[in-house]
Amino acid sequence: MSDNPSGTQTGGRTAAERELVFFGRVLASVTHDVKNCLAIINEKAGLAEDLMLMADKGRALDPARLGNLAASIKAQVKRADRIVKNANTLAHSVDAPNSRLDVGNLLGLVCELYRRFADRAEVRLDLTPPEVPIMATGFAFAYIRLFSGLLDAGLAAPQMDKTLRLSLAQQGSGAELAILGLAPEFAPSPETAALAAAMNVRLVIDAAGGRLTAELPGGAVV
Amino acid sequence: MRVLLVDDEEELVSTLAERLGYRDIDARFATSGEDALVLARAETFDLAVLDMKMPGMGGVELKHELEILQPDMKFIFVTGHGSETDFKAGTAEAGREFYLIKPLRIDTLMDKMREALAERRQP
Repeated sequence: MSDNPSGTQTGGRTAAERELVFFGRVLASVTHDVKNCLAIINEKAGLAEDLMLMADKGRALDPARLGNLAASIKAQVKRADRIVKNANTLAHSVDAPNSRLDVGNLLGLVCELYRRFADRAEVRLDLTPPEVPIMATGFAFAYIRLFSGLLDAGLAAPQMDKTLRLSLAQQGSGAELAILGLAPEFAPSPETAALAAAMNVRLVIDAAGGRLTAELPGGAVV
Repeated sequence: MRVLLVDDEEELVSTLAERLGYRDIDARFATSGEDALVLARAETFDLAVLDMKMPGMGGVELKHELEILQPDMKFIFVTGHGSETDFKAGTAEAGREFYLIKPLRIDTLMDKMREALAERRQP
């Protein structure tokens, strides 16, 4: 996928550079999250050692306490596993230019990858997944970049309650992504708008209603 | 030694505070810059250990706010990122030796705390 396949410069960066920046930004966020998981596991294990050392010196050891520590460590391993799985899915999204995709899963993936960016912007992401799987044939990374581009613009322009409500639903032969909670200044970047056009996705912005609708074409959606 | 730990990962700071407590360090914790300032308005701390990246107020901005409240407070920065930008910002504020990368070794952290406070005592 490239919204600027010629490699010409847009906004000071070529299309290829922008995709690398996106990967780098997400990878930095992912590794930060994994580091936090490791740091917590490290402290929990250290605390278990502390309790064992104190037990050696005669202080009673509470089995329930050790059980809680083990449960916390397991929870962090599960959290880290999820983060790494998401990063792996992103990495493999560039493998095939034309494959069967679950669009709802891709939107969920982008929301999870963007959780830290949303936290830093102090914006809540509230995703309502589709009731039935919405399948499409296309390039997974293009969908990821479209959704991430729209989220970037949304995080930069939330309404006062700082909650972006996303939903994806079947609409006729296609699908409709809605993002609510957008401030009037919401504006996708020219690159995101160009990508949407290249994917035959129609973006409709209702500035007064604080709503974006992205109409995914029926031709690509089964 | 009274220490203020600030990190948006509550499990991390609460556990670290407990472990420091077993080492005779009186550690309190907060999970945001705003909560840390509330604590610092109510209590005096010798040193603060601050996460560089937090939602809302980041570590460097929080340091500046804490310095206004408690000018004698010393600082150690902690990060999971290790990016060049963070490294420059953190070391510029606290010095290269007081910029630590997660996961932390508690013995290293305690050594750094003592070093930071020893610096404060020097004329």
